[in-house]
Amino acid sequence: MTTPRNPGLPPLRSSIPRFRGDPGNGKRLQRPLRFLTIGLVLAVAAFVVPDSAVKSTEVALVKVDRANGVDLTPDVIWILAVGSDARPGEDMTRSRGDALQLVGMDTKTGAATAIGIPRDSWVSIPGHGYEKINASLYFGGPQLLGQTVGNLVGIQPDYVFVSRFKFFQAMIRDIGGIDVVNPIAFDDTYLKPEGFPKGRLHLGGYDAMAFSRIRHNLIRGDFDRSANQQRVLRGIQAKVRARSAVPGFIERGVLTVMQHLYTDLSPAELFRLAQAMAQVEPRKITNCVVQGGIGDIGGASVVLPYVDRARRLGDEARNDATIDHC
Amino acid sequence: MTGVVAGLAVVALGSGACSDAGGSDGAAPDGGSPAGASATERTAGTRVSFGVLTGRLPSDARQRLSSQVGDVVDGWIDAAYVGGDYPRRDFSDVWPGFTAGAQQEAHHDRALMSNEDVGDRIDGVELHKSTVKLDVLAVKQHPVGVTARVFLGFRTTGDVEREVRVKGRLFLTHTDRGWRVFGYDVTKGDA
Repeated sequence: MTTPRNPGLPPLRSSIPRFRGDPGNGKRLQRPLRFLTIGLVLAVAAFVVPDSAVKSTEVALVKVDRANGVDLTPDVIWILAVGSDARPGEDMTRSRGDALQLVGMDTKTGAATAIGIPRDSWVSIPGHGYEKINASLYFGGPQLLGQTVGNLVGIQPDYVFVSRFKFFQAMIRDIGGIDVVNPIAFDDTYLKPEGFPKGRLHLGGYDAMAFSRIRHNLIRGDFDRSANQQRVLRGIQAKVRARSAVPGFIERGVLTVMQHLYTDLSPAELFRLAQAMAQVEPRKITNCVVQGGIGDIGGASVVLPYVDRARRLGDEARNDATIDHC
Repeated sequence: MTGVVAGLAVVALGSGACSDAGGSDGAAPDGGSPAGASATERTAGTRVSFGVLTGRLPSDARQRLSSQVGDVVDGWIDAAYVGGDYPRRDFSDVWPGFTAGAQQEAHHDRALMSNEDVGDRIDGVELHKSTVKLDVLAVKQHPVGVTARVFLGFRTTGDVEREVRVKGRLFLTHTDRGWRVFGYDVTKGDA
């Protein structure tokens, strides 16, 4: 028998530099962060939160076992998903991030976690002193925003995805809307005057955007909004996962993203990333929001993040994209 | 030895490939067309056809892709399931077209990703069906990513006689060593 062998095949390297940890040493990291200005905000993370690992499934009277896995380097990938508030005509890579979710994905176990960052978090932005964290996108683009969030949580993202509302809404429409479970009714005079009732909701493109953005009459303001963004992420993930086995679905998604994306990643890298995202196991998804106090600086309401707790979340999730306790 | 690998693809794709896309699935954002036309019958019996083509890919590139990816998939099928001299225990190196990381993953899943679970209790494998459908992402008329949908049906003989179905997807990209499997989502069970 002449079974072919392929000795010594090296693992695929995505050439993504890893600069993890030690964020608090004040040293500016000159890493070529792979940032992607995509059209999916939370949507990348949408892709981001789909199924994997080994599992057993009983199908009728036939026992069918399933195995899956993806070879991606590094094993745990961190993506900062950013929803930009850029208006039409504005450069969204130099706007303010309206939604900030640091999403981790363990390609070996299928675990994923999202760490929500309140938009108004008052933090040190390298080279710019203290400011609201979302201003770092305006000051230094995706690279600086990634670095700033990385310094807060203690995990430097491998990718930064930036999206604007229009594409986000279109993406939600394209996948047929999403389902979320809303824990408490809320509304907004401008974005959603009729409000969102408590319970399971089906959200179309506009509603998913509004659900992610409304803050003012949420009990815990920015914190609850960040949690709502994570509910939207879960909803997107569930829909993407459900369709990931549809022939051509992932390929189309990658091509669509490429058409709305500024990136230095190759199409093959995007394809590998998308397939890895589609292998995330929903039961292994965890979410937390960085907590903090409320302060007033210069007349502006800000969140004073509990940095030690943020770092604890980062420490807990860094190696396996799992957080047991918020 | 079944020689699944042995055959060169008798590629006869012509200008297209087989489509099971069923309508809009084949519509690519950049105007790429649904794959269409015939399947390729490899000499070993594995039928390689195209599912959904996203983007544009010239017919000659389709032919090469079909042949190259078909070889990779056949290499796995042959080494892991239907080839080799049974009974056998050694399934440590039966993913020749996988990346190193994917080989490690597959080794963890070797009871599913090979016949390791019954290899020492059977004396042969009779292949009934082996098909591969390729969903392709093409950019600038070059294939950059492939999802290979695999269906494999065979019967084991010996102490363990059963009909086995292996079904799932392999994910491939092109490397400097050719097309390689970097991920998979595969089920295996009795028919």
